[in-house]
Amino acid sequence: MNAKSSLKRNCQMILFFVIAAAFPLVFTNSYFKQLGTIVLLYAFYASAWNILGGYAGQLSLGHGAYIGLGAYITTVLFSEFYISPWLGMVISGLMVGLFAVAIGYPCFKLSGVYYSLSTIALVNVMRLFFIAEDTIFGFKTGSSLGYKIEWRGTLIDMQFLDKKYYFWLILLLLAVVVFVSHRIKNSKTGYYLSAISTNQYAASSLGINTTYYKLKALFISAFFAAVGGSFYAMFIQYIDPASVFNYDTSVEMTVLAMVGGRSTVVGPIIGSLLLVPLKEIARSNLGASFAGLPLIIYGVILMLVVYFLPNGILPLFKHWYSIILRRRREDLSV
Amino acid sequence: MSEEIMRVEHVTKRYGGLVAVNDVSIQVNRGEIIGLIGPNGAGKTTLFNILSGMEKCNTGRIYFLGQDITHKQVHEICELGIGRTFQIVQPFENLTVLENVMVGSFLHQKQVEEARAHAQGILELVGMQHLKDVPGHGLNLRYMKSMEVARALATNPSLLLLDEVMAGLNPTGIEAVVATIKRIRDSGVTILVIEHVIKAIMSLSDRIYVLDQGKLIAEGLPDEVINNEDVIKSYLGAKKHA
Amino acid sequence: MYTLIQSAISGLLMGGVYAIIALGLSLIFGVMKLVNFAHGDFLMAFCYVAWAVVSFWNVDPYLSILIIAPISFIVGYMFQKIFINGILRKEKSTESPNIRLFTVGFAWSLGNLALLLFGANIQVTNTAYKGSTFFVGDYMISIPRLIAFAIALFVTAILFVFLYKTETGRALRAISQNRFTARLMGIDVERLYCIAFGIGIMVVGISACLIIPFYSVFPTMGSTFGLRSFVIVVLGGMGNLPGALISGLFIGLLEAFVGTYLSTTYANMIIFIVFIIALVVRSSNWFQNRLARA
Repeated sequence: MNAKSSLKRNCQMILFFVIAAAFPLVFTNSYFKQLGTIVLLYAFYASAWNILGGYAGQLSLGHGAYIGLGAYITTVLFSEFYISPWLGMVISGLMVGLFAVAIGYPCFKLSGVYYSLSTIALVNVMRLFFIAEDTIFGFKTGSSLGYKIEWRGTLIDMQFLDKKYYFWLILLLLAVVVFVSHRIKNSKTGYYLSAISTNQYAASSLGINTTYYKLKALFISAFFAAVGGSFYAMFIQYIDPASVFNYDTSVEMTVLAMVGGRSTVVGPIIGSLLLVPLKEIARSNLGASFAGLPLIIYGVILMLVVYFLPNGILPLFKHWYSIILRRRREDLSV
Repeated sequence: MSEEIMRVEHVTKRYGGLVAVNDVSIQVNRGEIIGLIGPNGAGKTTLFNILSGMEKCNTGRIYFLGQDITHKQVHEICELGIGRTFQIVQPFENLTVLENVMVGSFLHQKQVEEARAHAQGILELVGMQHLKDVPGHGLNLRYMKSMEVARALATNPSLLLLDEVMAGLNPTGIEAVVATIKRIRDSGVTILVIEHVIKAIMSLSDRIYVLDQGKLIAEGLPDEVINNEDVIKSYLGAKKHA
Repeated sequence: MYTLIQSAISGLLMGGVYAIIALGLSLIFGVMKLVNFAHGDFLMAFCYVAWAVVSFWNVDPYLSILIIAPISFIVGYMFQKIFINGILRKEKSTESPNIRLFTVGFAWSLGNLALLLFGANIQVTNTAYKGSTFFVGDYMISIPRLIAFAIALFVTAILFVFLYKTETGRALRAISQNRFTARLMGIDVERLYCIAFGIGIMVVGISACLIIPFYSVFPTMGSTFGLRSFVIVVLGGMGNLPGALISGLFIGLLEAFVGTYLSTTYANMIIFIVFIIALVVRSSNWFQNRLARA
């Protein structure tokens, strides 16, 4: 990975973001702006998940717990304390990160399967708790009726009349998480996480404190998941336990990252760009009589990918690309 | 040269009713190459697991560089200066050879570039620099074992535990490994070697310990040990059952 | 006091049913160390099949076991053979995350397929048994639940006999203890995996026939029962069949008590919390040491 190829990679990334930024200016239809925002939100969730699930190899199937908690904390900070969501999402991110570490510490001692099961239990416990109780820590959270967020309409309140600002906001957040993922991957932490996810036994024999690094990945991953949840809250302006502490979303994040390529930086984005529009369009066009069809397709794709391409699509593309390059070089040298 | 670097005192390890390591006491001095031999199932690898912290002994104490490491965690023990290889190789398959060694280098190097340079140097030491970009799963056994040695060396250990690094090699390969081990010792690392290739152990070791069914049955200079009646009996006895 | 005993009775009866549903999962995990996330959805699928057989062919639900049991065994056997063995060939162990994810994908597909075919409607089987009860003193006992409980215990006993008294059963137990050695002793591990999975799913099929007389069938019941099964299996110890039975009863009781005195939402929540605690305790060093010493 020399300087020249990483410069090229950085330029490609910047180009992607610039083009993406132009999207809402070209497609001014409200439906497309909404769709685009949702696609990017899932790309964001998947990238956040990937830091723990892809890099560190800890298959969390309950990241919804962190999304939901982030959403509720930011909402309460906004509604009760009048704290701007710009600040609120950082605060909730930190709080959720700490929460994740506290729960994660005993859970990481569990081997793979048990760990995944504990994450499923966690997201369900959170969901049920928020349904059962309508007042938590003294704040009215509305239980299963949900929490409607008051409209105040200013920039500080992260509320915009024109949907395109939400699009740009999530694009910005996505850029941040991509940047962070990139920095992690090319650092000591990244190498260590790679070692831990491949062979934890051998990793510890090389002086790696595996618990510390897994918790570090968890903190960052949960932080960003919470930020995503905060965005969701301000975007939809209504949250309820079933939609934010959502098991299906948790699994979906996993699928998107896996399909795209779980040990890469852009894999989750690619997975989202391919699958989410498919699902959303299917859902809005097919309606209630075909409810469930998009998720069936998701399930089938997941099975196919796991069976044939466990490392995702991206490594396959890279492979094809390098073959094409080599052949071109051979042609030129003849 | 006779400064004590590790002392193992009366270590015992039980699995239910089976005693894998039985009241073993060992002493290793700085700069030595100590051989650990014995028939299969004698408890040698278990002892290594205990020394590196991957298993905990039931009784006994282990002192390294003056510190009691009996209850320390695996990564702490590596930080203190003990590195090891595994009887069944444990490569990081999705990483290249260079990246594998870099993981070891990162114990003491902070930046990616520093770790990369350091790892390159280690690979040259074991003669694998031409394979640096090969993925970990694409190596043959001999190179996988060498890579594991390089990886452990990259953590800059004072004591290196080598577990059957010559297994499955032809005489040329064995000679190369013997030379490498001597080079490693000359660079200042103390080495504890488990091996079945008797000739190699004889030429390498300053002292030898012999383990049979978890117990130490002999210790001393190579010539003393090889002529020891109990040792001969344990190997011949093992051959009878094999 | 009356409420206590009444809920205890319902809880125990339901617990027996939970136990048998979890039994298949426990067996599969014990032999293969494989966690099937689609377990609950298999149950849901067989519930629909059983409902169809009962409603359209007018077969007695308990007699339908004779039809469903062999079908479910074959389904389980083929599933393992075609899909999981395929992935296993590339992966090193059954604990690999890919197999987990595969079953997650399958669960999703199956659950949503049911949603597609049947909508979110609830299907109810109308049989002679439905709603029939008898009284022991002041306490009401539901007959279909009682029959389910009895048959569940019976099936558990048979499974036990199979595992301990037959050649195949012994082979399965050998594999669960040490896969490599078993293979060295000439045991065809891959084929036995298929048998184990087949048996596991067969037990699920039987459970489906047992519960349709008193439980409504709907697409999302897969995840409900699936998660319950996981809790039970972890509590009882993966692969520990008597353990699964006892934890099944325990969970049934817990659900009944909390449900009666607090709310169903709380019952569900507490079961998950118990689950997390059990997971953490089981893997803790303290517990492992106790297991080793035993």
